[in-house]
Amino acid sequence: MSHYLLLLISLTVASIASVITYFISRKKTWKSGLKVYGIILIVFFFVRYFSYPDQARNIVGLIDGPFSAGVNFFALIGIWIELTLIVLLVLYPFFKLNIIKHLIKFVLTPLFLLYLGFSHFSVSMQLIGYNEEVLGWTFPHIMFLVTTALIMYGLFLVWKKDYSFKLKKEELIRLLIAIVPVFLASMPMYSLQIIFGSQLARYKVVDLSSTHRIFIYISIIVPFLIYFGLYKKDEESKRFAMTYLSLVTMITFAANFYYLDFLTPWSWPIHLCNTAMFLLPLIIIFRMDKLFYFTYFINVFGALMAMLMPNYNATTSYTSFTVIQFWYNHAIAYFVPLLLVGLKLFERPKMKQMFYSLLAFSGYFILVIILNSWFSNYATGVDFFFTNSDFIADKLGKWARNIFAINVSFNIGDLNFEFHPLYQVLFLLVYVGVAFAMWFVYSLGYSISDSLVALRFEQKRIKLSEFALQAALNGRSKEEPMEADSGVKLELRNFSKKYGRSEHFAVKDASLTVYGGEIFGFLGPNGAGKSTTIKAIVGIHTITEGSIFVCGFDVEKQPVMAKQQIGYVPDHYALYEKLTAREYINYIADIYSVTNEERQKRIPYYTKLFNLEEAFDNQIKTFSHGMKQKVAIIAALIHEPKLWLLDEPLTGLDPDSIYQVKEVMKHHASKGNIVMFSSHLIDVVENLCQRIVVIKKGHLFEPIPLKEVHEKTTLEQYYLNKVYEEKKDE
Amino acid sequence: MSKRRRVKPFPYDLKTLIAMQLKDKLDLGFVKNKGQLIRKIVFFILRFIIVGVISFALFYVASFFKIFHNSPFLPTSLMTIVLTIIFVISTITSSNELLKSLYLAKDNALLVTYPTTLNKVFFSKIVVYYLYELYKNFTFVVPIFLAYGLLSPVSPFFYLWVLVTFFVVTLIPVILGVVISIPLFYINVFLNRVRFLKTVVFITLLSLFIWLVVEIILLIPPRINILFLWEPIKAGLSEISIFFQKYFVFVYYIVVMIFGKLNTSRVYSYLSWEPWLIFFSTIFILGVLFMLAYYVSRFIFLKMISQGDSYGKSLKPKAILNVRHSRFITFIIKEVRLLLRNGEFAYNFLATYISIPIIILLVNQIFAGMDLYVKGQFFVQAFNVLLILLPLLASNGLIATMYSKEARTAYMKRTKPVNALIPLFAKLIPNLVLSLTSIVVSLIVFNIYMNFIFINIFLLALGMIFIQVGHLFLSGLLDLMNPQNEQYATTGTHVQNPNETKSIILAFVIAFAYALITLAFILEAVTDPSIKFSVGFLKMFFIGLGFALIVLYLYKENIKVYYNQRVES
Repeated sequence: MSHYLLLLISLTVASIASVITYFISRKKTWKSGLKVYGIILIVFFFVRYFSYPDQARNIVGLIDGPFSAGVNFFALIGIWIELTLIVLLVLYPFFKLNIIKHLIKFVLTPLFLLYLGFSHFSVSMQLIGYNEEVLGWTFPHIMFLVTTALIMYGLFLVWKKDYSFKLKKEELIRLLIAIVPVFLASMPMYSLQIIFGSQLARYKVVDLSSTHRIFIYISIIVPFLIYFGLYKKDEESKRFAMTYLSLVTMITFAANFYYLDFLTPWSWPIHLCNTAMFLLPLIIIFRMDKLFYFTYFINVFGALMAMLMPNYNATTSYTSFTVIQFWYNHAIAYFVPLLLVGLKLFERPKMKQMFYSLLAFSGYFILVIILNSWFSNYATGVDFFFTNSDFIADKLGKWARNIFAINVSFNIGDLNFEFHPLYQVLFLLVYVGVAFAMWFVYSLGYSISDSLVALRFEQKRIKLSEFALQAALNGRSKEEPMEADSGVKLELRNFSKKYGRSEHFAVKDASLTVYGGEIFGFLGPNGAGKSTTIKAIVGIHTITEGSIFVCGFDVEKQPVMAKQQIGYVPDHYALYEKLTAREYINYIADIYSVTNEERQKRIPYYTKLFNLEEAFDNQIKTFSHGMKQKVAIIAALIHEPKLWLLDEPLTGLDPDSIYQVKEVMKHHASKGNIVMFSSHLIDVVENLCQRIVVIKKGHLFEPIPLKEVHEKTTLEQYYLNKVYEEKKDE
Repeated sequence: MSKRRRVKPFPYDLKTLIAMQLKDKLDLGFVKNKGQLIRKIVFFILRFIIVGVISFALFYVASFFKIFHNSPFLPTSLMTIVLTIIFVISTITSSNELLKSLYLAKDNALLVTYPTTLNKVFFSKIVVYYLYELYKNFTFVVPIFLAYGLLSPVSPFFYLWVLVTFFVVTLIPVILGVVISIPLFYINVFLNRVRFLKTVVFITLLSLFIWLVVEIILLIPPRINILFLWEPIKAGLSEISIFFQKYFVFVYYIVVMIFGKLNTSRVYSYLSWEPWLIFFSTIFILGVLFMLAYYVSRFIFLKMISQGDSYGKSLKPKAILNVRHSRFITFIIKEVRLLLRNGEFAYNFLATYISIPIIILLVNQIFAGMDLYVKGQFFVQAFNVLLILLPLLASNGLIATMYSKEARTAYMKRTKPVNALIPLFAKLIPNLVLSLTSIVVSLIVFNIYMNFIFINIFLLALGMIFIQVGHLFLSGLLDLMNPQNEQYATTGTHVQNPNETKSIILAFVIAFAYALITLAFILEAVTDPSIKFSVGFLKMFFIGLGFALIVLYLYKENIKVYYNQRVES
C-alpha cells in the first residue's frame, strides 16, 4: 500500500516539474525547458544522495549482499545505469551533441526500463541496515521514487523531441565506441568490491609492488587514451567529455558523504585531492580560470605523490571501495587538469598564474594547519593534507620524525592548539619548490607535445606531396623525370624564397629556362639573390613558392634524382680539410656512383689539368685557397653533371687555372650540358656566355642573349643600366 | 720650443710582447669590469682557502694516524712525495704545452712580423708560460706548503720565505719543460712523418698503460680488512717514503730549501748553510739548463718559423687508390678518417670508452674484497649499471656537437643525391660501435665478479646497449634540430653549445633513472618469490628497447621532415 502512496507522491512531484518545464518550453525554447528540468533533476538527486549513508560500500562480495548473488549483481548494475542516465539527462540540454541523445535513447532507455524491475533492490542495497518498514517510509526512499519519476519524464522529453529509431552507420559506430568510456567513468566505486569481494587482498597496492605499479601505469595510460580519443574532436565534445567525467566521478566519490558529515566539519573533504573532486566539475562547468590553475599547479603534483605513496592499509584488497575510491580520486585530480590544457579547453598557464596559485596554496596551507589544530579538539585523527600527522615524516625517516616532533602548543579558552612549526614550514617550502619544478616539467611537456604535433603535421604534408608526385608520374617510376620530355634543361617557375620567418622575399617570382649546350651568366650586385637562387637549385635552400626543374626532375619532389644531374661549386669552398684531395674526390665519386673506370680516367685528367698531381695525396688543410677551389671544381665535375652550377668560381684562382676552368666550361657545354655561373667579372661573362640574366633585389630580369646586348651596348653598360634603373626607382 | 715626442725604435719590446701575450692567455677582459674583477678575486681567494683546508685536513689525518711516521710531526719524506708528484705532473704538462706554444703555435708567424728580434719573441713565450704557471700554481702549491708548515715545527720566517721559494719551485718544471720539449719535438716530427710508427707507438703505450692499470687493480687483496692489514700497510707506506727520500734526493733538497733543515731540537731552521746553498745552487743549475736549452730550442724555433706550414704538410697519409665503395660505406670511411685525424676529439672518446671497463674492474675488485649484506650486493650491481652508463652517456654530449661542428661543410651534404639520413646516420656509426664495445667489455668484467646466468647478463647488456643507442641518437637529434653550424663557422670550436648541455643533463637523468630501475627490479625479484630474477632484466630490456625505438623513429622522421628546413645557411 505504502509503495503505491509513495509512487503517487513522486508522480505528483514529477508532474509539477513537468508543468514547470512545459511552461518554460512554451515561453522560451524547448532546450531552456530541458535545462530547468535538468537542474530540478540534479537538485532532487543530490538531496536524495546526501540524505543517507550509502550502505552498498559495506558489501563485500555478491553473496554478502542483502539478496541472492544474481539479484545483488543486477541491483548494482541498476545503480550504475541510473547514475549514468541522470548525468546524461542533466548535461544533454547544455551540449549540442547527438551522441548524448543517442546514448540516452538507444542505450540507457532500454537499460533503465530493465532497471525499473530492479529499482527496489537497488534502493535496498544502498539503504540496507534499515528495516523494511522504515525503508518504505524514509525520506531517501521517497526521494528515490521522485528521481525515478523525474528520470522517466526526462526520457519522455527526449523521445518526444525525436522519436525516430533511425541511426546512421557512423552514428552507430560512434555510439558503440562511446558506451565503454561512458560506463567506465560512471562505475560506482564499490562495484568491484561487491562483485569480487576481498579475495584479492593478497595483492598489495603499496610500496611500488607490481600491483601498485600496474595501478600507476593505468593512471598514466588512461589520460593518454582519453587524449587520443578526444584531441581531434571539436571543443563542444571535449568539454562534454570532461564535464561528464568530472561530474560522474565526483558523484561516485561522494558516496562516502551524507548530510550528517556536513555537521562535523572535520569530515569535510578539505584534504587537497578530495577538494579537487568537487572543484573540478565547478571549474569545467563555470570555466573558472583562477581556480583551474590552482588545481593545475597544486593538485596534480599532490595527487601524483599520493599515488606513489598511498595512505590506505597495505592489506586492503585492490578491489575494495577504499582503494578504488583512492585511485579514482587521485587519478582524476592528477590527469584532468593536464587533459584540460592538453585538449586546449584551458590555456597554457603563464608564470603569473603559477605565482597566484602558490599564493592561494599558501593560504590553503595555513587554513588547514589551523583547522587541523582546532578540530583536533573535537575529533581524533584530523589530518587535512597530512600536516597534522607524521604520515609523510614516517616515510622520510628518523630525521623527518625528529623535525615533526618539534611542536608548539597553547590554549585559547578551553581549546588547545598544537603546531609543528619547523615541519610545517619545511612542508610548505618543499611544496612551493616542487611547484616551480612542475613549471619546468610542464614547459618540457609543452615543448615535446608541440614538436610532436608539428612533426605529425609535416609528415602529412610530405605524404600529400608524395601523392602529388605519384599522380604526376602517372604510373611511371619515381626515378623518371616528372616531365618526361624535358631533355637537358633547367627551369625556374615562379620561384620565390623567404628566409625563416622573415616577411621579405630574397627572391620573388623568378622564372627562367636554361637549355643544354648553353653557358649561362648570372649577374647581379651583392645581396641581389644570385647565391640564394643557386642554392635553391642545388638543394641547400628550401623553396618557399614556385618550383624548380632540373632535366625534368622536380627539385623539391625528386631531390635525389635532381641532384644526381647537378655539379655545384660553392662561393666558399666547404671541404673536409682533414681528408686528402684524393680521398675527398673519391668520396664524392662514391656518392654519385661513379664507376671505377670513369674515375680512373677523370681523376688523372683533372689533376693534371689543374696542376694538382703532386699535392693530391696531401690533406686539404695544407692547400692554398686556389688549390682548394680547384678541388671543389673537380668534385663538381667528377660525375659529368648535366647541369654545372658555379657560384663565383674564379675567385682566388691563378691566371693559368682561370684559363683552364674557362676551357673546361666550354668543353662541358659543348657536350650538350648546361654551364651556369654567377660572377662579378663582367669581362669573363662577356667572353664565355651565350645568354645572361641580371637579378637585383630578388627580382629576375628577362634573360637576354649576349648578341642582343652587343647590338645595342656593352655588357658592362647593360648591367650598369639595370642597376642604375633600380637606384633611380629608389 | 715644443717638446719632441721620443719615438721608440722597437715599440714591441720584451715587456710589450709579454703583456700582449699574457692578456690573450689570461683573457684579462674582466679587469675593466669591476663586478667581474671582484668575482675573480673572490674565487681566487676561495680556491686558495679550499685547497689549503683540504691539504690541511689530509696532512692532519696523516699526522693524527701517524700513517707515514712514528714521531709527533709529519716527516720530510711526506713532503718529498707530494713535491715529486707535483713536479712530475707539472713537467709533463709543461713539456707538452711548451712544445705547442714554442714550436707549433700559430701566432709565431704573426709575432715575428712585429718590429722586434726573434730572440725576444722566443724569450717572451717562455716568460709568458712561466708567469701563467705562477698564476695557476699560486692557489695550489702555496696552500699545500702552508698546510704542511702549520702542522710542522717551522720557523716563522717560513711564512715569508715560502713566497720566494714558490717562484723557484714553479720555475723548475718550466725549465725542465723547455729542455724536454726539444727531444719531444723531434720525436713528434719523426712520428708524424712515419705515421705507421706513430700508430704502433700509440697502441703500444696505450696497451702498456691499460695492462699496468689492470695489474695494479688486481693487486687489491681479495679480502679487504684495513684494521687487520694496517701494520703491513703502514710498513709499506714507510718504505715508499724512504724510497722517495733516497731516489728523489733532488726533491728532498728542494724541501729542505723551502722548510729549512731539522736541527737537533727537531725544529726546522734556516740557520744552517744547507737551505741557502741549495737555493743558490738550484738557481744556478736552472740558469745553466735554461741557457743550454735556450740556444738549442731557439734554433728549432727559428727553423719552424722559416718552414711555415711545412710541419703540417709532413702529415701525409698513405696514398690510396681510386676505388669505388658503396654510398653508406664511403660515408663511414670518411667519418672514421675524420675522427682519427681529429686527435683531441678521438682521444676524448677513446679515453671514455677504455676507462669504463677499467673503472668497472676497479670497483668490483674493491667490492669483491668486502663482506657485503645481500642488499648491499644488489646496490653494487645497480651502482655498476650507473658507472657504465653515466660516463658513456655523458660522452654523448660531444655527439650533440658533431653535426654542427661540420660548420658550412654540412650544407654541401644537401647538394648530394642521397637521402640525408644516410650520411647523418653514418656519422654516428664509429662512436656507436666503440661505445657498444665498451658496454660489452664492461659487462663481461662485471659478470666475472657477479656470475649472472647468461640470459640475465645478455638481457642487461641489450637493455644498456639500447639505452646508449637511444641517447646517442637523441644527442645527434638535439644537434640537428637546433643546429649551431654558423656559430662554429664563425668562431671555430669555441662555441657554448646548448645542445651539448642538454645532452649531458639527459645523460645524468637517464643513467640515474636506469640504475634506480635496475635496483628496484632486482630488489623486487629478491623480495617477491613469485617474480623470477630474469623478469626484471627482461623489463629493463624492454625499457631500453622502447626508448631506443622511440628515439630512432623521431630521429628518422625529424630528419625527413626538418633537415632541409633547419640546416639552412
